[in-house]
Amino acid sequence: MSNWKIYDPQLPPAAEKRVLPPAPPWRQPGQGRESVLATTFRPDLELVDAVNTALYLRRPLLLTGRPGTGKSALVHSVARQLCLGTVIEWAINSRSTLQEGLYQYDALARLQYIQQLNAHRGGEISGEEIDAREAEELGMFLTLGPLGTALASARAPRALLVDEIDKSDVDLPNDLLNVLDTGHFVIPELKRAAERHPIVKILARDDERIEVKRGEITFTEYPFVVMTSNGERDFPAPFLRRCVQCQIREPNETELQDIVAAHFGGAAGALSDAERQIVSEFVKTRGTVNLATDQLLNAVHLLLKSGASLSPEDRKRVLGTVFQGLGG
Amino acid sequence: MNSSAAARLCRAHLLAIGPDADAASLADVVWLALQLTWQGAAEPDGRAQLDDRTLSPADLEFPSNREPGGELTAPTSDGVDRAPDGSVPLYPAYSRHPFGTIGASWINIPAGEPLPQRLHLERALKPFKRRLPSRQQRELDPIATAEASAEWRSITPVYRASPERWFEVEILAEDSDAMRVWDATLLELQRMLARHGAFRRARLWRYTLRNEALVLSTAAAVAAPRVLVDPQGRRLCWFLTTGTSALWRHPALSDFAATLGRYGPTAIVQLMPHHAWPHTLLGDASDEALSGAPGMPTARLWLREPFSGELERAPDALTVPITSLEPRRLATWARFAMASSQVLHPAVRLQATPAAGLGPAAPRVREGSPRKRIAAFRAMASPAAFQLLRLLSAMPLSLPVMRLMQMGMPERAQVHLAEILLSGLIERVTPPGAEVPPELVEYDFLPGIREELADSLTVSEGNRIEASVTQIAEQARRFVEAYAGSANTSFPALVPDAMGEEKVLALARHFLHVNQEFRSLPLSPNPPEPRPASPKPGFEFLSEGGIKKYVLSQNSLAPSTSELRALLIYKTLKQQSWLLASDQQAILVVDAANTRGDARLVQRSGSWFDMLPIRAEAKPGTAPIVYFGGAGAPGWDYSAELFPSPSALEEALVAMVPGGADGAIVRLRKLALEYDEIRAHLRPSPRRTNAMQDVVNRMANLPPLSGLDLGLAASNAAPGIQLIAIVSLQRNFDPSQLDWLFERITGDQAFLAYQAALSLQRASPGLSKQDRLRMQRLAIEAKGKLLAAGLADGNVHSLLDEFVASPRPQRARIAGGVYRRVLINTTGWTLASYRTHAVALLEEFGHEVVDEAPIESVDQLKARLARFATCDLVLLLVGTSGEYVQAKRADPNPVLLIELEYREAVRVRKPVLVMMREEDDSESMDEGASGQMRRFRQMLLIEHKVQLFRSINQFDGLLRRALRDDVLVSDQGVEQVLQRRDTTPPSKTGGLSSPRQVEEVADLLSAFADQMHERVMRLVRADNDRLMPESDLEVARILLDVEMELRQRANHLYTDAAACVVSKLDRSQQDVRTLMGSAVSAIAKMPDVRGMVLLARRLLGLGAALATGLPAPILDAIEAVEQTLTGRWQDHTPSQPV
Repeated sequence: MSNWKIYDPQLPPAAEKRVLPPAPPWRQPGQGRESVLATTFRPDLELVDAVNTALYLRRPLLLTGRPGTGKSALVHSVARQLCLGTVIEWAINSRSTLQEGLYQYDALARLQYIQQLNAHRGGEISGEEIDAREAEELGMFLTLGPLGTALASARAPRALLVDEIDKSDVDLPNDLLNVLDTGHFVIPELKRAAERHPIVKILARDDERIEVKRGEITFTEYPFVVMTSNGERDFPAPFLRRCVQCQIREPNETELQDIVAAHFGGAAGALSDAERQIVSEFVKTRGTVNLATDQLLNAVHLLLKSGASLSPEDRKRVLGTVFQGLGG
Repeated sequence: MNSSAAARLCRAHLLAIGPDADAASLADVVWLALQLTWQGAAEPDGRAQLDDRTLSPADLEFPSNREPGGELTAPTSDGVDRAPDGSVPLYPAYSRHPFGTIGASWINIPAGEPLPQRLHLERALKPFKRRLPSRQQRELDPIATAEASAEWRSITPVYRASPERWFEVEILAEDSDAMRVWDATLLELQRMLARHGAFRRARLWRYTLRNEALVLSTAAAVAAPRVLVDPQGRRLCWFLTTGTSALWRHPALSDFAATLGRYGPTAIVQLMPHHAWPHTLLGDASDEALSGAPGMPTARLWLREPFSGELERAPDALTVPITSLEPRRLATWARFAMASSQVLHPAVRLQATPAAGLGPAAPRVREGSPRKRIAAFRAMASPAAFQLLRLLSAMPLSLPVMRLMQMGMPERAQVHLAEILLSGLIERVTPPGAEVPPELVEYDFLPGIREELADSLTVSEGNRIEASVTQIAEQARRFVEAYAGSANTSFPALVPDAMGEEKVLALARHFLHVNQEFRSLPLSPNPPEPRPASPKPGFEFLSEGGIKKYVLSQNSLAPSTSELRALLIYKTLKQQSWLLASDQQAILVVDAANTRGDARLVQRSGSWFDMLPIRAEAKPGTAPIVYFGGAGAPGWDYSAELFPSPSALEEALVAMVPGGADGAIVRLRKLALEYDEIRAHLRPSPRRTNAMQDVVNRMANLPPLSGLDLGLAASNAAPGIQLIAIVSLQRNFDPSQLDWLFERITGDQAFLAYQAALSLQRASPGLSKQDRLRMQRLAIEAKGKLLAAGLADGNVHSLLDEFVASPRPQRARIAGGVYRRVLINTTGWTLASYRTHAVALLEEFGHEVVDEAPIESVDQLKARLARFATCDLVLLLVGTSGEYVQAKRADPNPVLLIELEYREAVRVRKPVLVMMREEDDSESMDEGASGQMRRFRQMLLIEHKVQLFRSINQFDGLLRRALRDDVLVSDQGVEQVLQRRDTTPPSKTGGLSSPRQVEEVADLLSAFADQMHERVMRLVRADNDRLMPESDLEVARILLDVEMELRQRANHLYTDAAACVVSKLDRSQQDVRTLMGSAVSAIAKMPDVRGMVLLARRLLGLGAALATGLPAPILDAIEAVEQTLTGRWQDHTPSQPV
């Protein structure tokens, strides 16, 4: 039996850097992971309905569900289907503010920049040039945040993922909806200079440059907003009314088999008996502890796709490691 | 229309936005509908759409995004109890039992909120969002920078202290079992505070007393109290408590609170609702504190003198503001704590030293009857808490169940749960100190509370609460179904599953019925799909033995151990069908490739009652078919090659039924069919009733079925089979069928109702106390239902009345100055003077006498008998001749009125005082007319405790004593002992086989001695007026000696019960008890003093024999007692003293 352990203290140290076996597709860094998420996501019918409702009504979609049920994957899947471009992600914590979501202004950096500029050159530049440079320089130190980008992007509509909104400060949800309802927001720093610089180009996510006219961003198309929640917070009723809500339930055995097939099955899409067995073990374990779908994929990858052959005891131990309850 | 995609989307959205949608949201729905219609989504799509419910406000309570029609489940053949609407029961985790009979598996049920009203609580804490300039963090001040730069003509950055969150919160809770209950709530509170945004952090500490000093601990660490002291005063300390812990009187805790309060704000957060505070150790919030600045330490608050209203500085930090987890109170406190102007807030004064003489008082009274305790709770509790308690009275108790039920309530608050947990009506069943997470701890109501809760309400109140309770349970069910699989937190429960690894007792209580499909989500196997039957190469049919083995391995089938018989009925190349028969049931097995693949060989199983009659058909041109069961049963193919004619198959199949064609099962089934025929074809008439009764009699005449599975018969819907079950219950009662029987009583079939009531009546004397209580409750419910439905079969009603009355034996005393209504009945005019005397005497004692008019018609008799229900005591004066009445209009045989009255009084369980005039030699009773009277008198002497009198003086004395001297009206000695029967199950063989049983007999010996003593004393005293013959005095002395010995014997048996256990006694405990019971009653009413001596000696002999512990002498002694008793009552020759 070949040794399946990559790290094994029993063995002598490797002479050179060990080449790791290939990563699971959903653990590739960056774009690869997102496209895997998008292509393998299997929404159920209610979820599809909810997405459509949200699209028709231009309402944000509020997804509630346990960790690991594919809340974030949904938005990638939608973005891919509708060619909405890269998904803009905004991870929320209790210190997140609306301001931070809209734009950031780095006053200190700008100050430094001006000082340096002054030190290098005298005053021999014409007034017009100064104006142009100032406009450029204003834009340099303003960056649109995730929400700002989603609203202002020229390639509207964009897909925006507001992740774990239930972790936010108590007021954030309402602030967020106010922006979405009014249809525009103001950047005071630009507004002040609007007389001199009516048009400023500022940086947004994904290196997009956006023209801001008179310090105000008005948008004509709503982004497709997906907000996810683990159910840790109750939202005020007005907030809930302005969203399309959907509960994601955990997939049942058949759906799990589909998911495994989507990840591993290839063209045929059929599951091997060994895969079926892992799925059913997963479902059994899930009866007593909380497990995420990810853990099932991990198990299949580890046991079947890593090329390692395990003894029954090893297998049992590995499954035990992978199927650790998430608690709660 | 309902099935279109447009409708589906619109409905889902409408459900999600809830009942109080605003105009914009509704406009959304309309827009959505229009858009979808234009997009062509209004056409019906092919998807099965079972959700055709119309929307009602109740639907809008919980967003139910799941479509009930989405999944199909396997047809159930696993015999699991399942409601007809396809729902399955859920059991709490602790009902797992190694000897259970219901297979079950684990399932995660969405948990109710541990901290209800989270959102409101968060809002309440908004005042704390004020920021304080940080001492460490600095940030650029743009305006100051600009000004400074302008001033100095060069860039001059100016920094300021950045604002930061003001407080961090420390949640302090006692580390005790009582507080463990609140673990989930505390954790959720901590999480809520940490997430809130107003606090820098929130930590949860538990404090406990160790070596008289307070020790703090978190999940990870242990710390000394002083770590919580923050000299900057930016730490909020909350004591979360129910205020019932004795620790609040301990100086260590008050010192701790005082230390914390010197530096920062402290508060007590009561988990109990405000109105219950006075009943806790902390007491009412009678003090008032005044704050003047945000975040003021407790020690610097001002206090208001409660009487003069003067303000004074707090001398220490022991007067702590108090609040609760109710949003309103928390908001008031938050405003107070962060107030810039002066705001008053209630506070409690902690006792720095333990108050003398004040022990750790229990917050609730634990004494008193269940009724009193419930009344006490109700007087104190909030309506919502009582409602919840009421709902829980029918459920297994655990924390998750309580929280889940709360989810169904329109208003949820943490305090309601606190009220219930500390009501003193609920106790923890799981032993304290057990390492069990709080979610798995088992609770139960104290004995009697469940039952009492059911009938502690008036009818209208009951109906109202019942309706709301049903609604709550329904909402809870919706909650579970809506959030199954998506809820953030869940708790494990058990759901019936024949394949499951766990077992649940059949008696276990379940807490909710949920839709069956819900179950298929996480666990149950996929439904088998009919696949084309294509025998794989190498497929081999199972042999007969193999088939039997397979069936036996399916533990969802009959648990019987009886032998299986098998018959091959169908045979082709692809398939073989077998009928397997056990004593209880028949099983149809289809052996084919596809059934083998799905492991579904068993296609049908059922009791023999379901399977009979068997009818085979072989019409030319069609495949021969055999039907099992009544009309509408599906047919099964059989092979004509195996059975040449249909009748041959029928014969072969009937021969497999236990007992064969002439066996009890087949005959019972025929009778059941006959009954169904009568029902179907005869109109209601006496003839029909007679015909039905005839069927019942014939059923009863059949030999009893040994292995008849009542549950299987009872679950059958056919009335005839139900009748079989009822008749069988009349003969052999099974308490687990109580509910079923009462369902029959309230059912629409009058005859079954009456038969069911009869079987209950027959069984009621032998029921255990618990079952009797249950029966009483069910009877009340049934009566209510019958009245509501306008069904009034007089017989059934009178039986129900009897059940309602029966479980409450009243052992009333008539002394002690208690005012009572007394009903006097006499036998005719000869006792008129006694009667007058009795009335005068009773009135003298302050009792109300219900005087009766003479009876002239049957209706008057009814009215008279009805009076028994309203009186407290019945006094019967029995003479030698009585009146006779016709009990029923058509009845030709008159019955003795006094006997009728006596029976009625006993039936409604009223205490009866019987005063009997002794037979006078001069007053001869003529045989014909008073034969009945004589029989009645004898019966009374045997059955009841009778006061015998001869003269008016004696009568006066006896009655006075009975009224004044607290003489028990009924034979309490016997009754007390007989009540033990409730706890010891009657065993058929081998009495005295446990110390307990020996003690029981010792009890009876003592009771005998008591009665004898009383009798002797009565004898000596009553004859005061005349000289007692010397011989009688001698007898009295002998008796008193015997009494002494008897008591010694009894005492010996008590102390040495274990040594006196007899291993193999040929008499059952029941026998011994009955015998001794009759000895006790006999001694009380023996007219002849000398007879008493003999009986007493015999009992003494029995006592001595018992002490030996050997069967032979005991049996001899028992026989001797028996002979003495029967000899005494058969011939009237007085026995001679030995």
